[in-house]
Amino acid sequence: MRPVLLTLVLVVAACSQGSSSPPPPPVAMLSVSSDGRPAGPSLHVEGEAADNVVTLRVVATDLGGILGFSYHLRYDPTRLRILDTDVRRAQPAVLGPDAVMLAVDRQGDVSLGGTRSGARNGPAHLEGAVTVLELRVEPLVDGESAVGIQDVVVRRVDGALVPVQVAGARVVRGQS
Amino acid sequence: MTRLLPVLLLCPVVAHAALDVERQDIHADISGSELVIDLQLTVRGDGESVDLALLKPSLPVTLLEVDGEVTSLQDDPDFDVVSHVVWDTAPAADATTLVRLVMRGQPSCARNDGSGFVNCVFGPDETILAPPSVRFAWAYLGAFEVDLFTGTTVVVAPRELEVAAGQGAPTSVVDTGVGPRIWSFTVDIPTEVPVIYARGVQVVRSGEAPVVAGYYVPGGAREQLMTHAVGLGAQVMDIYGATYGTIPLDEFRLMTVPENFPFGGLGVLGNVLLGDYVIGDLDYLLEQGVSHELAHAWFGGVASCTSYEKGFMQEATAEYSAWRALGELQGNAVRVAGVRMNTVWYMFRRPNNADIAVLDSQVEQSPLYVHVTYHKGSSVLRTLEEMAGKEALTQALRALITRGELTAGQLVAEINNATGRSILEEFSQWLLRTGHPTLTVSSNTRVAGSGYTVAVSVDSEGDFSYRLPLVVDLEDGTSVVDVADVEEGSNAFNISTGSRPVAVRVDPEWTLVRRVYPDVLGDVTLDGRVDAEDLMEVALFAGGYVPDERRVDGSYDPLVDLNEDERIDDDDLLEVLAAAER
Repeated sequence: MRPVLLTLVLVVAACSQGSSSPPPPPVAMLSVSSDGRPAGPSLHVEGEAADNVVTLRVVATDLGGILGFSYHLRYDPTRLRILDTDVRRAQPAVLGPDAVMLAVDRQGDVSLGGTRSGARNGPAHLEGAVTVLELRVEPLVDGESAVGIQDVVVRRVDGALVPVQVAGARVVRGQS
Repeated sequence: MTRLLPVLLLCPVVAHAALDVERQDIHADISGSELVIDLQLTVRGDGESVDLALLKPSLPVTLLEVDGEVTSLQDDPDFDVVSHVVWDTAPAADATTLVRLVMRGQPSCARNDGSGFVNCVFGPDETILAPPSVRFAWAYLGAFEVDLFTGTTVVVAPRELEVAAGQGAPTSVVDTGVGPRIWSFTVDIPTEVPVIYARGVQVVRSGEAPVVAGYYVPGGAREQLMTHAVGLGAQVMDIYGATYGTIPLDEFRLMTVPENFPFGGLGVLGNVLLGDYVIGDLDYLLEQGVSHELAHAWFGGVASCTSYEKGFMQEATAEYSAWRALGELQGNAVRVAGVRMNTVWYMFRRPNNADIAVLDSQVEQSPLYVHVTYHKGSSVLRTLEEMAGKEALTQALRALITRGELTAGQLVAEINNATGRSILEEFSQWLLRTGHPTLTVSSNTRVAGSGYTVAVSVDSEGDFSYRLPLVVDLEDGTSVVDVADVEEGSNAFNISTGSRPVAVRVDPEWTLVRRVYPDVLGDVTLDGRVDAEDLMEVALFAGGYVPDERRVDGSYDPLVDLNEDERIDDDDLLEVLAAAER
């Protein structure tokens, strides 16, 4: 995504050069670039920007039947600010109505995830790509701000660990 | 002869009587309205003794002969439950003399202890005589000393009844086509616990040697359950034979008895009596019960206790053997669940949280006897296995069985011998003292080179030193296993891993009687922080509870019972959430 962003910036610059009217006021350019989408069971971050707000989504892919998942979303709190006041509500009920979800923002380390309330209740099936978090953030400074996924643990109802690949994303804010 | 009756009634001292009953040939006629028992005892003299003390017969004695001369039993001056056969002159050393004792009458089956339980049933439809005991001495039983005998048992029984007695399959069944049938059995392996079982039952047998025969009243799911029991029993006996040595019997029996007998299971050499409910309403007892009682063929059968250590040396060993065998047959998780169940019952269901040492000399009189003997004692044997090694403990137990005597001191000596070091201190802390260690655990992980180092902190409360299994689960699905030597107080260990650690588990196989707390409230994965992984750990045990009934597996792990209400449920998940938000 970074090349795309640079292209956009160049296009804007070219248009400006071709105009005889006064230069417009600086516009904050905002974008999100995902670091990829790993194959197999994975969690990755993607998102989109509008105005000065970025909506980040954590997408779980091909996790299958699981008891629950846990991960940490890490960012630099001097560069990004979470806008949602209740991060727990930013997690769709993908583990079922009886699931217990956890979301704690420790200034740059958002502990997320949840579990079925009991292994005896059977697994939740996360087939294909499922959004497990939709979170609004605001860049505080220009430049690139990384959002990473770390310390992922996904378990089956028998307690077995599911190996999971991860990919984060970067939020880029610049001035045109 | 030391007069130790009050203790010996519970646990006789193994020592040959001065007059030694070598054989007891039992002829029992249960076909009439009265029970007729005709005993012939072959007694070896020592040239000095003239007195054979036995538990007072519980049926009227109609004849007593000593070497063909009619005589009479004499009462004991001190104990009203003891009688004596007295010789005019001492039988010569190494000579044998014959005693014939005939009893006839209606047995008094009720225990008369307010329990409502019985020692026997007697009637045309079923007759079951549990092993002789005080006030229920339907056969010879030495009053003051263990006196093992071989012999035969012949039972004259109504023809519609299946009969079991002695050891192994009947040597003959005489059926004239009318009237009673005559069943003959031998007792080739010395014992002191005869039984007679005659009931209108079905019999199902396992296929291959060692044959296990199951006697059950047909109906409901009983046939299916007994078929399962004999199949499992045969497999278990195979394992026991390989572990402790084969017992040369052609058949072992599982025999169900009415529910008013005072036990769920009673195992003697070759015979196991099981409450009807074990293949009925309480069939959760079946696998454990069958395995435990069959183990008594070794622990209490071919070898027996010498003292108040009987509980540990016979019951705890049988319970330990049962879960070990079930683990071999059904997977280690079954064994872990069984050991955890026993440990939890000891830790959480002792009346008033009182305690007594497993090998306390008063343990058999204690209301805590069951808790510390069956439950803690068997778990401690698992600890000894972990400490000494499975082979070493097996070797030690086998040596004891070969000797025929089970003593705690000899067990220590045999383990020492097998391991080449003294285990006395470890043995003592678990068995001569009360309690168990309480552990508070945390860890943190740091990157170290291309891998990680997990620093584990264990604060151990209680005067115990032990080997503590530590397992670090890694994100790639593998685990690193370490064993730490823990002393009372603070302990620190480093464990290196190649892949990222995700959880630390302390003694996950319950090799110790212990309680584990997380150092960080809610951190049940013991990784130093509270997150959704802890939620999952609680959810894995959700539904677990501390049962009110013995031997019910509540799948309870106190580590994840964060609010300590003896149930693992949503409230504990909420405790994790609350801890995470602190």
